[in-house]
Amino acid sequence: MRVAFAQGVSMTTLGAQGTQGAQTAFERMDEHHRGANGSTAGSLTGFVLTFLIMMATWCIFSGFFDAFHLSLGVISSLIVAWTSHDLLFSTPTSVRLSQTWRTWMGFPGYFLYLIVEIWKANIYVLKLCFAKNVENSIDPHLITFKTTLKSRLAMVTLANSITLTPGTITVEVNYDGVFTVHALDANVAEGLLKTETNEMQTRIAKLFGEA
Amino acid sequence: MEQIITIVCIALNVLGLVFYTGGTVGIIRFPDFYARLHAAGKLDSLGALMMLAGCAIYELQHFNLATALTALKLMLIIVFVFLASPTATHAIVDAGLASRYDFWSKRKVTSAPADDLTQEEH
Repeated sequence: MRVAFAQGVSMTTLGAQGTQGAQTAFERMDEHHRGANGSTAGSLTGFVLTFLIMMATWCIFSGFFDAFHLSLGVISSLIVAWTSHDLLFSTPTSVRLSQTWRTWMGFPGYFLYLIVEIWKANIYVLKLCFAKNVENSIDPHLITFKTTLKSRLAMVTLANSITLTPGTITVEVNYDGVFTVHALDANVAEGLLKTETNEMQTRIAKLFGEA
Repeated sequence: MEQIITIVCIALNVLGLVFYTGGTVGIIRFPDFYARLHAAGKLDSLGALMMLAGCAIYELQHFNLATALTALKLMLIIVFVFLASPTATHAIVDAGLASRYDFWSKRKVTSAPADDLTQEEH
């Protein structure tokens, strides 16, 4: 099921460039995910963790804690965990699981950093919105750069973070880590192109254990 | 104490509204499709964060299970907005570039870069 899902994604994003290239890029990514021994063990842990997350969400949304409503929640969570435990924790080998744990623990810190960045970004765009002459104060560019991040989840995190921060929107990311970004200003674009000193990328690499 | 919390909530909500207003003004004033999405995608997410955080703090001033659950639900909305908003913005920009819609630039109207769609044409 996981393979079918991933292939579907690669077909839609890279479909026009030829299936062959998309396939090899996908396999390279998958190898990176699977770890040294190549097994996708730990599906029971993934199942239990998915079940616990689903159950917690059920409790928050339902607000009823009597036996009837809780048993409904258990049944629903079991069904969801059974069908989709390989999506949320797609590769938890024993090594990977500790990394997943560290990533989740590091996320609040990253989120705080992101909030500060989002705040700066919003003040920047807000000033532009009320500028006397908007067309003079912006200078849009379309730039491409290659990231040093390897895993797909890290790239998605970077892509969404770029979209949330000053004057930049991620247009496209491909499997080789090439980002296409629409920037509202040339200065903003230059900050992204210096990949070695890009603070956001360094933080994400640390978060996903790639640094 | 209660008054301070109310003032904080009102301040957060008003600030959120300022961001929403800025986003709306930006959508109207920015010169092209892509620049408008900068205003629409970013200002709305922070506006939603501030207003929902204000509501959550207001709920939590009388702390019990019911208000805690409501506050948690509001937090979940924030999480969803922060995942969905950049993804939706990206999808719209990508659609624009895929149909090779030109973007506004200072010097001239620049063509979107030739991508895989160009090959199909020849």
